[in-house]
Amino acid sequence: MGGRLRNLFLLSSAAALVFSSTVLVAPLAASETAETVLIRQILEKDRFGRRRGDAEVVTYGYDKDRFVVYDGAGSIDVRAWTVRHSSLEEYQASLEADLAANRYDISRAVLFLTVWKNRAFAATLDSGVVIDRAGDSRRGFVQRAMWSFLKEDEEWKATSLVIAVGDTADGGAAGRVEDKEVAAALQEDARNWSEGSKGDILSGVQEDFVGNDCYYSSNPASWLTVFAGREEFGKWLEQRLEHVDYDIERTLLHAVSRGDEAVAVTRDRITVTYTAGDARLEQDRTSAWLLTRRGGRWRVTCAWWKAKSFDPPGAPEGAPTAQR
Amino acid sequence: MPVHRDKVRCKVRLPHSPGPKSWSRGLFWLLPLALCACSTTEEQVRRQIEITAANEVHSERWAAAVDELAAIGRPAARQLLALLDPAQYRGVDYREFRDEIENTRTAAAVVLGRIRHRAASASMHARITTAYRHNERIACLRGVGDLGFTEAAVKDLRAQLTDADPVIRLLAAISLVKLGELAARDTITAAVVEGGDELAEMAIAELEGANYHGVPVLVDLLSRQEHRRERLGQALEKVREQLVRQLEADDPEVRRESAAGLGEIADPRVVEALVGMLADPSNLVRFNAAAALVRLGDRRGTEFLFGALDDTDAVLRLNAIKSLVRLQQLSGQVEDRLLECLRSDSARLRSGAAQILGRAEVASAVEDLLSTADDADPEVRCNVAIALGHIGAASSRATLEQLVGDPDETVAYYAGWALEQL
Repeated sequence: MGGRLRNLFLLSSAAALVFSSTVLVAPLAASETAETVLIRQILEKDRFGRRRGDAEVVTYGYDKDRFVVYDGAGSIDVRAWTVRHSSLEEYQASLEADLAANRYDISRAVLFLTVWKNRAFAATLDSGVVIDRAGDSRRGFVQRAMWSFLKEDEEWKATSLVIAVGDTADGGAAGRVEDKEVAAALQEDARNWSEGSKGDILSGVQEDFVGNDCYYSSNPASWLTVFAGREEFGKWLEQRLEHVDYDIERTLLHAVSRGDEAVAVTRDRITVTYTAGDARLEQDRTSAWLLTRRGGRWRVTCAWWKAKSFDPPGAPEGAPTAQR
Repeated sequence: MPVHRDKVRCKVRLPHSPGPKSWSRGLFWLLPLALCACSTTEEQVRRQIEITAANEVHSERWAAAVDELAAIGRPAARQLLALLDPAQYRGVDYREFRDEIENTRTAAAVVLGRIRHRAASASMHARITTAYRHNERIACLRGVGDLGFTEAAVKDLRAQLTDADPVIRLLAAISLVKLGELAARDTITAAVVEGGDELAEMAIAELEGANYHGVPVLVDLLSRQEHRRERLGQALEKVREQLVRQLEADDPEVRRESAAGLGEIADPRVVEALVGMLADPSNLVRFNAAAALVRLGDRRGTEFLFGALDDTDAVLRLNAIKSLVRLQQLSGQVEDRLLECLRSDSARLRSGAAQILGRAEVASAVEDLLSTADDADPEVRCNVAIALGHIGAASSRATLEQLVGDPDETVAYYAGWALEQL
C-alpha cells in the first residue's frame, strides 16, 4: 500500500513537472516581448478564473478605476455597440452571478496583440462550452472580444473589454443618437478643430486618451495606435495646427451612454489646407469614440479614426485598402 | 524667413580673449552653440518636410523643398529615413492623410537616392511593391539603383520585372543595370523598341541619367537598333560629356568607371583625355584608361598595358593580365601582340601572354603555345600547360603528355590537370 502511494506520488510529481515545464518553456512567437508576455498572462488569468468560477481571479488584471465593458452586439460596426457595465464593481457583480450559475469550459486564442508605448490592444476568440451548474445542460460558446490595456507603475491592467464583437466580414448596423450631451461634446470637438484651438481640443480628451487609425479597415489587426496619452496627442497638435487648417463637418450617427460611460460614432467631412503649400485635401471619415464623464463633462478616452464605413460607397481615400 | 529667425536665436556671445582657463570655459560656450546648430538643422529639415507634405508631388514648391533637403544632405537623412516607414507615422509624426504621406515619402526617397544614403537601401526596396502608391514606388525604384548593390535589393527589384505596369518594369530594370545586373537589359530594349513613344523616351532618359551604368545598354541599342537612333545618339553623347567631366572626380572609383565607360563608347574625341589618365595616382584608373585607349585603337594604351605586363611589380602585371584578358574577350584586339609576346626575350612577357591567351580561350593560339611548351623558363611552361588546358584543343595532347614528365613538379602537375580538361 505504502509502495503504491509512493508510486502514485512519484507519478503525479512527474506529471506536474511535465505540465509546468510545458507551460514555462512553451515557445514564444518571434514578435513576443516582455510586455506581450505580461498581457497574455492577464488574458490567461481571466480565462482560468472563468473556468474555475472565480470572479476575483478573472478580474485580477483589471484596472479598478477605469474598467468598462462594452457590448459589441455581434457587430464590428460600432453603431451597434453599447455600454454594458460602466464600472468594475458593476461588472464584478454581474460576473459573480454568471459564474455562480454557469461554468465556462473554454479555450482562448489571442488573435492579435499590439503594444505601443504604455498602451496595448488585443483581440481574443473564446470557444468551448458553458455548463449550467444547476441543470448540467451544456451549450456551445464562441465569443470574440477586444481588450485595451494600460501600463501604469510598471504594471499592465485591462481598461476596457468589448464583448461579442462581430466578425470583420459582417455588415453594418443601425445607430441611434440617444445621449444629447455626448452628441454635443463631440460637436464641440469638431468646432474646436475648425477653430484650430489646441487647448480646447485637448480639454475634450482624457489624460489617458488613446488615438487609433483604422485605415478604413474593419480588421482590428490592421489598426494602429497613433497616440498613447493626451500629452503625446498635445505635442502632435502643437506642430500640426501650426501647419494645417482643419474644417470639420460632423454628423452624429450613434451616441449612447450608461452611467458615466458612452460610446459614439460620427461621420466627418474633413477639409484641410496648409500654410506651407497649395494642397487642399478632403476626407470623409467615420470615427468611433469612447467617452467618460468626469466633473460633469464628457471627455474622449479612445478614438478610432478612419473606421470602416459600412455605408454604401462613396468610400473615401481608396478604402478599404489598409495602405499606409 | 523662418531660417533667419533660427539664426538669430542661435547667436551666442563668445569670450573675446581666451585666458588660461579658456578651454573649459570655451567648451561651456561651445556646447549650447553646437546644440543650437543641431536643432536649427533639424528644424530646417522639418520645415522642408512640411512643405513637401503640403504640395503635390512634382509641383514647383515640392521640387524646391526636395532640392533644399538634398542640399542639406546627410544631416537630413535620419528624419527622411523615418518618412519611408509606415510604422513611423505615429505619435508626433502622425499624418492622417494618405496623400500627405505620399508627398513626404516620395520626397524622402528622391532625396535619399540623390544623396546616396546607402543605409536607406533596405527601407527603399521595401517600398517598391504594389502596397505603395505609384509615385512612391517610382521614387524608391530609382533610389534603390543609386544606393548600391545588396542581394536583397536585387531580389526585390527582380520581383518587379513582372509587374503589370510597364513603367515599374522599366525602372526596376534600370535600377538592376545600375546595380551591375545586366540580366534585365531585355526589358529596357523592349521599352525602347516596342514600348511606344512615351515609354521609349522614358527608357532613354533613364539610361541617359544612369551615368556610366547605362553605357553598355545604350551602346548595344545603338549598334543593333534602327529605332530611335537619333535620340539614342543624343543620350550617349550626353553621357560621354558627363564621363569626360568625371575623369577629374575626387573619387577614384568614379574616375575608373568613367574611363571604362568611355572605352565602351569608343569615341575618338576622348583619346587625349584618356591619355591624361595614364598618369592617374590610382592603378585601377590607369589600367581602365589604357584598356579604353586600346578599344579606341590608340597605341599608347597598348604600350601601357604590355609595359605593365613586363614590369617587375607583380601587382602591375596582375592588373595588366586582367585588363588584357577582358580586352581580348571583348574585341580580340590584342591577339597579334600577345602572340608576338610568346616569342619575346622577356620571360615575364612570354609567361603573361600565355596566361592571357589561355584565360581568354584563344583557340587560334594553340600552335604558338605548343611551340612555346619547351621554353627554358619553367613558369612559362607551366602557364602554357594551363592555357592549353583552358583552350582544351585535342591537338595539344601529345605536348601535354610530354610535359607530364617535366623535371619541374609544378609544370608536371598542371600538365596532368590540363590533360584532364581535354
